[in-house]
Amino acid sequence: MRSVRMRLLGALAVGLVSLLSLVKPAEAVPSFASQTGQPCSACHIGSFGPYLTPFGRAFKLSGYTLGGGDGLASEIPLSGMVITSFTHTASAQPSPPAQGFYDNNNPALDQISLFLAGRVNDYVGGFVQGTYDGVGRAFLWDNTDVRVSTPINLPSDTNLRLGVSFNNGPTVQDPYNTTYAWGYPFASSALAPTPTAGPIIGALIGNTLGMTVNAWYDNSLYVEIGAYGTQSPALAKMLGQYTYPGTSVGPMPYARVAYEWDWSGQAAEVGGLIFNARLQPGGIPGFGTDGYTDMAIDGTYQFIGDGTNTVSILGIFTHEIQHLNSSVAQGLAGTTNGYLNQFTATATYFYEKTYGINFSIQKTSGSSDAVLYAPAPLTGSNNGSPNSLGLITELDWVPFGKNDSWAQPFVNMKFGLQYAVYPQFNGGGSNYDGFGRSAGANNTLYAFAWLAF
Amino acid sequence: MMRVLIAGLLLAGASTAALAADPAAGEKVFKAQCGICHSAVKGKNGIGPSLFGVIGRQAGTEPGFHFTADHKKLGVTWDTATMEKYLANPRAMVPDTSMTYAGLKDADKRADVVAYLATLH
Repeated sequence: MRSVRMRLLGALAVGLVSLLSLVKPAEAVPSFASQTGQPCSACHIGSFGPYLTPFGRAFKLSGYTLGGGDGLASEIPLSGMVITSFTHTASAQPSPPAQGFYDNNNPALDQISLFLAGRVNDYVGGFVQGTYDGVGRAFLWDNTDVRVSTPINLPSDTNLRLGVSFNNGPTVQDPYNTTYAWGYPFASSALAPTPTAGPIIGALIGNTLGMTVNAWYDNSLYVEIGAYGTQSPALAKMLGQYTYPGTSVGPMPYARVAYEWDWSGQAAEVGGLIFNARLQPGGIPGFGTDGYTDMAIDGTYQFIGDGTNTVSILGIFTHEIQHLNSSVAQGLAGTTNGYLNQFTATATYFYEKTYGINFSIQKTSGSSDAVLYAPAPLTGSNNGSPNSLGLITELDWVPFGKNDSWAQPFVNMKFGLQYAVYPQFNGGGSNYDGFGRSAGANNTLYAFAWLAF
Repeated sequence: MMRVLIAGLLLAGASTAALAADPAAGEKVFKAQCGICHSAVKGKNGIGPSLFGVIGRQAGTEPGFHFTADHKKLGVTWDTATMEKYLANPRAMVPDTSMTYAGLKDADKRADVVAYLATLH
């Protein structure tokens, strides 16, 4: 029993993100549409959040302060969101994935969210999301980004905007959909197994508090620095955060640089970020710390044109250096020094901002560790390897959210049909977990309906 | 008669607003709202076209920027009056405009912005 618990703690300690899918960020905020007087399609690729257009990024970087809407609705910063779904895996799971569900073929109320989202004045705006997780059956404090932003007068007439963000996870404040908080898939099943290993930065979204300062120069160069600290275990528990990799020791620095080109209905971006964390795994003191350094390069291309045909490509490569001193001392890992690489790339096409198709590749590889990635039914690895490959195809239909749509901008919906294929899962193709399960058994069909109002 | 009087008062008001327009105040509004998509630098297009020299330019002709069909066929040369009309409700004047901005409702601020745009030469 103790061994199982220790392994679980170890899994949490090194930033395993299978549980992260339970709190996959999702955002669609019609109160921003009311505030700006714009349809959802102005800010979002495919007329639905969270995939941002160039204007959507500009709106975010200007602190969510842009107005333009009329009437009382434009003054009310409240929105809601509901996601329901059906999940089918190629083979049933060894046991139901959550209390009250079956081992396969699960309909679910994924989540209900309320947003406080809008501008305060010309300099302050943001959003705070509270979510009822229908799978975990718990309330949680979800994504939050409150920004202060102001334009600066330069003698050259070139635009410069400075800002501060207070948020609850690294990259929640990032304007690009390459990074972890708002990356693809924008919705995924909380009831299907997903590859176990992922960069620590992704596992610290929601359970940290951070402040960053940013500069946006010439509407092109984005520079940001800041630091994060984990919430105390008691606070995280109170706020419903059931993913808690550890307690930070000292501030966790974060730096981000990106450069964007916008021209003739097209946009391109290249950038990078670096993040460092020292954690006490599971919040347990007395064994030193685990150290992580995540470094990433990312890129974006978007063809918007006149909105009839929209093509978008996202990519990010992350390299993580691990020093698992505490985990080794606690018997949670077998090797002190390790690494993890993750590459994701996603191509999206939308016709008339309504009918979409997405293709995504999600590749993880890293150093092997037979203790850290131990055999376990469904979630373990038979060979101690974190290597996984996932291929996702998704069809989308967004009937509303355009300028002439029904009930615009107060109601929007997205219907999606997503299929994830796993040629490799936690290090293997057949018997990957040491208990006879094949990677293909985790292939997942996920159908969802997403309502925002 | 009453309508004529009201129209006359409105025109007088508009004229007064135009006379009182403050380019410096307009620059602040421009940087806070317009600047997230537009530059005031010659030839520097972004999400929107450069607005350097926009007053006096024929609509839909900034080199290097992809304008919508309605913009191209608008057939106006931007002056302070047409620009004020456009900024009040862009989509009313150019139905397919790609400018994701609902309009600047405050007439004084609008006049200030137009006055600032007129200085960009």
